[in-house]
This record gives sequence, C-alpha cells and structure tokens, in this order.
Amino acid sequence: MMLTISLPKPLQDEFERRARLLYSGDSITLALAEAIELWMAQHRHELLRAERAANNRAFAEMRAQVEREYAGKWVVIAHGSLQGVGDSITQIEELASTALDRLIFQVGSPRRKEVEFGWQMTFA
Amino acid sequence: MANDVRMICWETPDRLVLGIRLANLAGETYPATEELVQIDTGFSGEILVPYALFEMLALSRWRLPEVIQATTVTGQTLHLYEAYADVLIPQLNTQYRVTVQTFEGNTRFLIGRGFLRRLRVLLDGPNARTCVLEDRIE
Repeated sequence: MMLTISLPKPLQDEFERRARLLYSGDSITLALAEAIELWMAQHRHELLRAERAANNRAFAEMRAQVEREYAGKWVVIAHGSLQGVGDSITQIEELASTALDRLIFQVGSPRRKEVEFGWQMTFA
Repeated sequence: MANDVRMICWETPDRLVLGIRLANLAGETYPATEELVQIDTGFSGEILVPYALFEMLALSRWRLPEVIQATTVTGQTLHLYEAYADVLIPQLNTQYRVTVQTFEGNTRFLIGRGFLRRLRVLLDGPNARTCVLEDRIE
C-alpha cells in the first residue's frame, strides 16, 4: 500500500533518525508498521467498542428484514452490515474473519432473555 | 449388552469444581490442560467467563445479538454479553457447544445450571470430590 503523509518536520527527523538506529534495510517502513500495530493494540478496546456499537445498530435496523427473509438461516453481521447468510455456522464462520466483533446467530432460534446470579455483586 | 458407569472425579476438598477447557470456534483454547472451574447452582446460565478471558479468546467474534439481563439475589440487574464457545472436558474426551456469558469487569469463572443439565454430576462430600458419571455401554 502506498501512503503519503505529512508529519511535523522535527517529528519526522527524529522518527527517521531513531528508526535507522534500530533497524537496517527499510527502517522507516519497519518502524512505521510497528508503530501502526502498537497503536491498534493500544486502542483495541475502543475499536472493539466501536465495532460492537456499529453491529448492534445494524442488527436493530435490519432485524425485521432478517427475520422475514432468513428464518432458520445463520447470519453474520460485522463492520456494521450484513456479511452473509448460510445454512450452518461452519458455512459462515470465515466471513469478516478479521473483525474484532461479529454477531453470529441462527434466525428464530429460541434464546433465554434473562439469567439469575445466586450472589450479589459486592459484599458490605 | 450391559450398562456400566464410568466415574471421572476431581479431588476438591473445599470447592465443587469440574476440570474444563474453554475454546473459541477457531479452536484456540484456554488453558493448555484444564482449569478447575467452580460449580454455581445459583447461576442459571451455562458458563460465566471472566471478561479478560472473553477478550483473550476473542469471543466477541462469535457474539450473539442483544445483551441479556442478569439479576442478582439483591435484585441488582446487569447486562451480559453472550457468545458461542466450546467447553471441553479433557478427562472425559467430550466437547459441548455452549453460550458463554460475561460482563465488563467480571472476574468470575463459573459453571451454571444450564451446563450441568448436560451432565450427571455427583457431589461426593464424604470423599471430598466432584464427579461426572458417564454411561459406558458394553
């Protein structure tokens, strides 16, 4: 992927200097890839929450349509949209495989709405 | 043909536990061998997992739509995430597809009544052990 970005000059100079100190060869690319991976790891929880919210919104919006058109089928919602429909969970489990959050369910399958805990959350 | 019963037991002097492993649907498991997970007959779900384990196994990638409501004995309500996972009992060489539940901040790992309904469990107090009974047909 080709990416062109402009950094403040002092930051760019310092980044390049440090990258060359640590890596040989294509030091800037290696350091930049590591920086991007680190950023994604640091923000994983926020990204997960954002994906969850998008998938929940998509489910709420398309629920009636999915229930009408895909009764008994397995459905995957990820990245805020319907990714695919299949006859079994194994048929669809490869869809959106890099997503942090996916909704996977069989349309119309009975499900409990509530559970009980036999304990309290805090003890005085 | 005679029915025989095989009994697999875990020595548990002060707790009621079963030795299980949890796996996501991509086959990644926790732990490598088995973890002694406490039985909680007050919990009506199948398996309650610590939120950290839910994240570690990336169970959000097999999440069910909508949160479900949990009620504690004091009437407090919580909203739980639910996801598909597999429970393995290595000593029985069995595997069960379950729905696990968690909430952010949860640190408890529990086996609830929903999962116990799949097994015949013996709480053997005098011998300080918890056992699973399995039919062995000969």
